[in-house]
Amino acid sequence: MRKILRTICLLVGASIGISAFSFAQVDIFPKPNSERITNYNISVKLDADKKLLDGDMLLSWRNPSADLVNELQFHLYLNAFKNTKSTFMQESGGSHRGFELDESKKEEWGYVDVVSMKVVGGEELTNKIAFIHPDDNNENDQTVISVKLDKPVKPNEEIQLEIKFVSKLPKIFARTGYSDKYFLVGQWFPKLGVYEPQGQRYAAKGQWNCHQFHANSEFYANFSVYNVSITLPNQFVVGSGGLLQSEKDNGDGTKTLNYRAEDIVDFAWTASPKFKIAESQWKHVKIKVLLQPEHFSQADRHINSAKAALAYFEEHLGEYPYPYLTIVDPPYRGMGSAGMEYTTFITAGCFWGMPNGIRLTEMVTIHEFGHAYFMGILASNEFEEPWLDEGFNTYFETRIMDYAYGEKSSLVDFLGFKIGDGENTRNGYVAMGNPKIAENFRYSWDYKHGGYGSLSYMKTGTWMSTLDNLVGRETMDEIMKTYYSRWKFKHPCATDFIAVVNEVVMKNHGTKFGMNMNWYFDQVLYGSNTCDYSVASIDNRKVYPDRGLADVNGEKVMLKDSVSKNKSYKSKVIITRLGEVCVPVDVLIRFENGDEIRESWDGKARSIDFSYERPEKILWAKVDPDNKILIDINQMNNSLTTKPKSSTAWKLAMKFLFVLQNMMQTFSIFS
Amino acid sequence: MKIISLYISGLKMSLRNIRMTFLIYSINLILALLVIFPLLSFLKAGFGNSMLPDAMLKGFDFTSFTEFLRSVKGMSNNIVQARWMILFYFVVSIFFAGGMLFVFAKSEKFSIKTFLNGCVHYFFRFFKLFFYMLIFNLLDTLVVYLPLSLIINGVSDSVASEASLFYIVLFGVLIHLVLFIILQMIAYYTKIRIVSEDSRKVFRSIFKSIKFVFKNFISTFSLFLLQLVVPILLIVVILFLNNTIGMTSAITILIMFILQQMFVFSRVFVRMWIYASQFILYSEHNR
Repeated sequence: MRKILRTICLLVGASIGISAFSFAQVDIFPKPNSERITNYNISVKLDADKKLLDGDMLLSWRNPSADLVNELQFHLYLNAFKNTKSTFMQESGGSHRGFELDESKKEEWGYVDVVSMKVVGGEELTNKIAFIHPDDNNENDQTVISVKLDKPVKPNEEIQLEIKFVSKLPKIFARTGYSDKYFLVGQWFPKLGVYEPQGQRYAAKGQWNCHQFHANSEFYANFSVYNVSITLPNQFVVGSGGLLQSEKDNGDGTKTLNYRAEDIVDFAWTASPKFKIAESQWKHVKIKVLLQPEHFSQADRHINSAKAALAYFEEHLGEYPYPYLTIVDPPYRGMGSAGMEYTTFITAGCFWGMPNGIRLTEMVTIHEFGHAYFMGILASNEFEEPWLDEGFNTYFETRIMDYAYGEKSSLVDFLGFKIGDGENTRNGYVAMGNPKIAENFRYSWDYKHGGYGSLSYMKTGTWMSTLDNLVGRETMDEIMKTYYSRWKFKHPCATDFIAVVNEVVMKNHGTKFGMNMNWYFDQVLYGSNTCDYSVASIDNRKVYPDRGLADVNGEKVMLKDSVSKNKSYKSKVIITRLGEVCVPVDVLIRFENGDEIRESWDGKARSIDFSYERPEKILWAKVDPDNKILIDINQMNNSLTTKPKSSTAWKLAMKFLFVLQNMMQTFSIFS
Repeated sequence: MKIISLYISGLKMSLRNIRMTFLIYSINLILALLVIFPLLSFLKAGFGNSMLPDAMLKGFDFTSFTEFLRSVKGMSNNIVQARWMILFYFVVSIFFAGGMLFVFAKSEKFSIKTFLNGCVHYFFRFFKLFFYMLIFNLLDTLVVYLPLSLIINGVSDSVASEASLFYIVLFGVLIHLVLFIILQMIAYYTKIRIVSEDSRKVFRSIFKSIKFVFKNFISTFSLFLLQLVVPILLIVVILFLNNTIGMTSAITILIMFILQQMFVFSRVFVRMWIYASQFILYSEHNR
């Protein structure tokens, strides 16, 4: 009887709780795409003057494991902006992408306080909240809390919590906050960590995976349904990661907007009275761009690049399932929030008067949109495997940019200067002072001596392109599509991706690359060595007939010219491997008569030579003639010719001469 | 109308002394080549027998360019040499300015002797003038950019967009440009005054020139603006030719080299033309 009463109380309590947050909902998807382990019903009120969010949240979580779970862990990310002691501030040094907080101003700091927390119809948890620091033992960091439960959550059981919280937004310098009346509200509510059942990713046993807020990473979360009700002053234009369900004028100068989002890992929103809206439709996707008035002329740049990305991803990875996409253009003083991703809601970034030939807006839009797939749908752990998110996304970004805007000019095509996005990505890796500083497979906060950006983004993008070139685009697309279809709305990790690569490559190429492709990932992902092949030398030696004396019938006679008088050359090309990374490479050799011979080499030995005896000399040799091995850190030594052209040197010298003469003449006006 | 006829008279005077342009241009070219030949050797050695740089012949190639920069060491030496050469030529230009104006003042046809006499005679006075003008230019920069930076700092937390900041900066730059032009005019007329009157009192000449420039501001300023027309046209033409012809083969490199040298020659000539026109203007007002 007591048990029945308790159940009734629980159900009544839950229904009261739910009704307090609920509003008329229309499902976005006919059936769930993901397990929807967590569901959030949040009602939040923005105090635009005090930059405060007053929130009530009803959270439900289903235990996905076979374990009895007696603890919950939450992210309280806004506490990263509470003081200089937080791990984020320590790691970032209080600056992010060149933007800084004015530490002397109280109003510029941010925080989130959990005012109360209780199980619906059950125990009060507020007093059980304790800060934990799973990553670095920084006792001053308050971005993760642990809440012990008296009554453990049983396998597959759902628990509901009522949480009241107050969030003070920081002045924007990194990702989230306010700038005047522009609000980019990200990482703003207590967000549950991920309970990984045994076997999920690398979990040897069921465990919480709930990392602190770091300078370089912030995403790993359950797929959830969000019902978010936002109340704020009437004059604000709002955009969010959800679909607008209803809007109500409260008659007191405020309005309430109700959003719903399904199968996303995070919910962010933005508000500003100045936004101008541009909208467009691409197939089933409604694209909405919230622009600063001074940037409105660049609306098409956002829309067209988003459409290019949507089309490309659909063709080469999988369909974008959501029926909407919101793109935010931050004001220049809120640029710290530019270039961010929240699955269906991204921030781009542009400047007034930015020439069309400088395609930073397009690049950022495409990159951030790509995160809908890498991190959003393929919800890998950005903290532990940032390359799986940023690197894969960079790889697709370069593919889309180069496809849409031209391989050699996709990023910059301005005043005669042309830079391809793929070229720029590769350069970001090969131009590193020390490309061996760390391996790719590393926690995002563990790049203690630098290299996070270049390695996670650029190196991964480059070795993914190299893999693409090695196995061929068709196979690569099959790999990515298989990876997507197998792991969408789940939490894949490195071994899951490698398993897909091994499976597809074996199916399409047999043992051409060995029994599997692990050798490749051991080098480029788990190792830090570099790749460098070089044409060391070309040698052409004329073949002469035998000369001198010979014993004929006991006499010394002069050798006669028994060989054909046609000229012949013994030619040899030596290829060396200067780096430690081995990949199969082709070598193309051209002879003076235009004949070409293509040789294949497994690339393992330190050096190899290719020798020929032909009537023509070797004119030139190229290792990796098709430029497949983009991880090769030095392409200058990839070719060698016996007849170098000096035209380029003359051209550059003449250009420099002209510049120098003009500078001399220009400075002379001061004389 | 008067300004245009002055301008044409300046052109005629310059054409009469075209040999002086040849001389100055030749020195400009020779000094620049002293930097360029080592650079050419450096480039050839840096490219070695690699075929990658061939991609740069067609146009700017980011990968080839960055690969080259990474693979060679010591490129900065060439840049340092270029910087020193610019500085050296600057001093040479101070030296030549005296000769140029002396030839105009003598109303003689150009002779090396007259030219060099003028160069030597006025060099130290012009050098002194350069230092005075440097101080004025620094003050001018401070006067414009110090308040400008204070304004930007003050409003950066309140302006609505980067466009507003751009216009504030543009306004400051335009003011600086006007002040710079005025200072340049003062410097030119001071040199003309020093040569015309063989004045040894540089500072006094500066103040007299200030008086001259402002007293005849419409003439001096409009002549200066008129003098900008030809250089701007020349820049447009060379950019057009560069885009049309390009430097993609040995023959187009040669053609562009010739055209570029014609451009530099024209710039040297235009500088002389500016001096000549201003010299005539000054002479007419002080007749």
